[in-house]
Amino acid sequence: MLTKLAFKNAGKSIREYAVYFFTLALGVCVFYMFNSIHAQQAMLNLNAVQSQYIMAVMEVLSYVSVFVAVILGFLIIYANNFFIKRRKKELGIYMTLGMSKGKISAVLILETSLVALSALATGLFAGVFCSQFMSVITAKLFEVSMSRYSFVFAPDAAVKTVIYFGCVFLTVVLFNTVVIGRFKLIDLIYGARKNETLKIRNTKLSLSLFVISIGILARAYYLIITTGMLNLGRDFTMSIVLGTVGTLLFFYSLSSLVTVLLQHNKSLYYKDLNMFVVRQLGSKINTNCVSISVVCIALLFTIGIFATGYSMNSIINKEMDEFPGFDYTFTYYPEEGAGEEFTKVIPYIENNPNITSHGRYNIYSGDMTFGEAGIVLGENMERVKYYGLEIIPLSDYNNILINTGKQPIEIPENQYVLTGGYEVMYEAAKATVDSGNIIELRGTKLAPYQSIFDRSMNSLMMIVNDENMQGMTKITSILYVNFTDSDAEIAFSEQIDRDFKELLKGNNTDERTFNYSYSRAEQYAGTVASRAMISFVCIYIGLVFMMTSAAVLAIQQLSETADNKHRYELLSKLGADRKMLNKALFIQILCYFLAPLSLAVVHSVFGLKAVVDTMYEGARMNLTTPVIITSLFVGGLYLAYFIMTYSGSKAVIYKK
Amino acid sequence: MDKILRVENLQKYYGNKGNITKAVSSISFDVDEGEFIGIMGASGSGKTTMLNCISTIDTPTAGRILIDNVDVTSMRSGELAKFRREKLGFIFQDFNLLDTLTAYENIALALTITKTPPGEISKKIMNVAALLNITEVLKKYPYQMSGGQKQRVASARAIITNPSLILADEPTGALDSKSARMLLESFCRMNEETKATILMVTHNAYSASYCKRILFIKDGKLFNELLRGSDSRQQFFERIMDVTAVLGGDNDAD
Repeated sequence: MLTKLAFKNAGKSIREYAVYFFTLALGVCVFYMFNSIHAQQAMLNLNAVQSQYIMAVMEVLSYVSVFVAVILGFLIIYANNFFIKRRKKELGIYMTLGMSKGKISAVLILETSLVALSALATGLFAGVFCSQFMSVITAKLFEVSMSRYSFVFAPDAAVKTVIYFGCVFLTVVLFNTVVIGRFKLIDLIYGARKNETLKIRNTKLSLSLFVISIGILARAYYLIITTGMLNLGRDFTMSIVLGTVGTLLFFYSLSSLVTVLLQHNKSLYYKDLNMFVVRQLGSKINTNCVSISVVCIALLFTIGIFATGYSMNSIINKEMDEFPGFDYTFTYYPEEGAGEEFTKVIPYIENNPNITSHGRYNIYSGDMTFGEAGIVLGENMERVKYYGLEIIPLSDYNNILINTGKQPIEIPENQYVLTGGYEVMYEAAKATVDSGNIIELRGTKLAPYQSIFDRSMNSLMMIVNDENMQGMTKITSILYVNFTDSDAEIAFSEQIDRDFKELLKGNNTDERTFNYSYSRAEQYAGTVASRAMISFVCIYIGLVFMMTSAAVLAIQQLSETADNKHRYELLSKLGADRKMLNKALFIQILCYFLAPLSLAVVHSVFGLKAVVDTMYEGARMNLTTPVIITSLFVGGLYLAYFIMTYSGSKAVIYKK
Repeated sequence: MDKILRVENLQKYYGNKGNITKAVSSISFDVDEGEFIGIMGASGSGKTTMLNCISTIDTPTAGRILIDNVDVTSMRSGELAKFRREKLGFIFQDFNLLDTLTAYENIALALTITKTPPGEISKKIMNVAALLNITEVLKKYPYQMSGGQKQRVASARAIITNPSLILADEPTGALDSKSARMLLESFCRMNEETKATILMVTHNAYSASYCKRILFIKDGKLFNELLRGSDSRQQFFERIMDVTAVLGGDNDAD
């Protein structure tokens, strides 16, 4: 009997459950997809370094998965609570008929598990299917070819999904039982009559609240733009707090303001069902201002995560296009150890026939900061002022040029050259040289000679004639090696890793005679892996945030429609035809979906500006493509939820 | 005089083969323009089913319903909505006001649905409000009004579009006797001053005594008809009580 009841109930409310079901299934699907990436290795031609990186990516994703499960858990509890609230009367009738609270819980548990189990099954199925496409993306991100195609199923990922979602549902069941245990029969029977109290607020008050909220938001924007994203101090916290408060106040006062404004426009307000729509929306946005604010902030995160993730990706792509440097590099910091430089690795280089060139160069400290040296810095580069100026002697620099097949340069007496390793730094170098800035080094005044764009150098370097280098402190020694081909490079890299295996553990700098070393392939694989990591994490979290916020809006709207079924019936009796009703419904749901999105877009304009300003050092972020991609993606998923809500609401209204 | 409503051999059956419930087995009657007609009957006599058929919310199994000489039983749903908003006005037992709207807006809603130019709305509402004595509550929300006020606002909403026929379903059912009396007096004024045709379903003899003519329904058929003629309201009330005594059921006199 209980089973029958549960089945019937689940079937009956299928329309309201549809969005919830879709979200659950999508959540499970995404969860499985991102946890099964490791299984796709079977299809890919990976070398040892690459599979190590895939494991690292997997580890990060598994941490993110916990976070994702928590978010989805909140959504499920929220939705579930919502459904229970709406069924108070039904539960009350069960109780008056003598059903015990335990049995009612049992019915609800059965219902929840029915929906949950079918969502889990559907989601897993979809996940296994979608992860086949995922391997193509993985291959592309890791820049490896696919050796063969095989159908991949990751049992451990499936088990993990089942366990995680099992825990979430267990929490929901516990939660439900507690909620039902606290129900009183009188509240259940008369629960429906307790209407949301209509708050008719003073127009002037709402107007001033609205103005205040705009003021608070403006202050928050100002703070975030002036402090940027990296400086997590008081101003940053302040801007987050103000932003949140401002958002809340904004939605709290928005509806009254819009209602008042529209009421003054009589020809618009008294047209078709506009009046009804405005009032309906007003009361809904007002009562739900907290959840709408949460949705707005979640959307802001989504937009932020997608856009910055994508543009960081393109920065990395660009970096990889012009991959600089040498095939293999050893670095040693003389300040830390008094030992010999590179003595233990020299034999490997001298006895290797595949080495085309090798050499050393030293970096010296200029004993002054960029600011003290008078380097002309671009906009928002305040922090760079405190970087130490580093100097390379001309003889060392010319050696590098000769070894990489370029012409050596000459610097006139008492002049200097600045090299920039990437765009922003090169511009600073150029501006400094153009400004004729004199730098005084150990009592000698040096005039600017030239600026060079050289990607084998980091950051901004000063190059001076060897005569000007007297008495300076050496801070870094670098030993670089170039090979005939990449096979030789990999062989060399593996040999070093093998022979120095023990010495590379811990701080045995003096014994291995270098601090660290890396090959071009390693560096490249690392860059590729960080790109993959950023992409995966951004898509994963972004998707879940997006889904959750859209689902909250959808569930609220659908239940609102169900609650107001009698109002729509009344409108129909008064002679409003379907076209009018559909239009009213459409506008209402559209506004409800657009309100948090619009504010989130405004927020993200300022937030992204702060991000761009913070990231000046890497490269200039170009936000056009990421913004387009993000809006397509966010818009697409949002639209899907909108359509589901609209058609679901229509079904609710016209259901006999 | 023109016939506003003609009901010809109306039948409405529920259920399927072998298990048929005849809610309305055969009813015919006419309503003239400007009439205030009451329909009385016990619970289950078929009066609500009949009202639903007349108000185009339900479709009859057989028979014809002509409103303003138009057969509503053969209309499609698109036409029906248009027909409802232009020809019919509704008053419900539980008022059915939208609680998010003020009284003024509730009344205006009926006008905006019929696409009345926004400029004319205010004047029309003021006229009706004066007629129904609700001018001072126009700015209030339903939860700030008494039951009687709510029902008069609902009446204003029904009459403001100048419908051919106003259908009232137990309008005094949820009101105390004083509010009920005020409402019924408003109905009489609406009927006399604006020549509104009102069809009221009730099982309350007191409410019915305000009508000019009363049809009694029993078991889905017309049982009796009473005309007020030149009787005083009190005399008419006593005649109604006599009929309901014969009719039986749950009719009450309060």
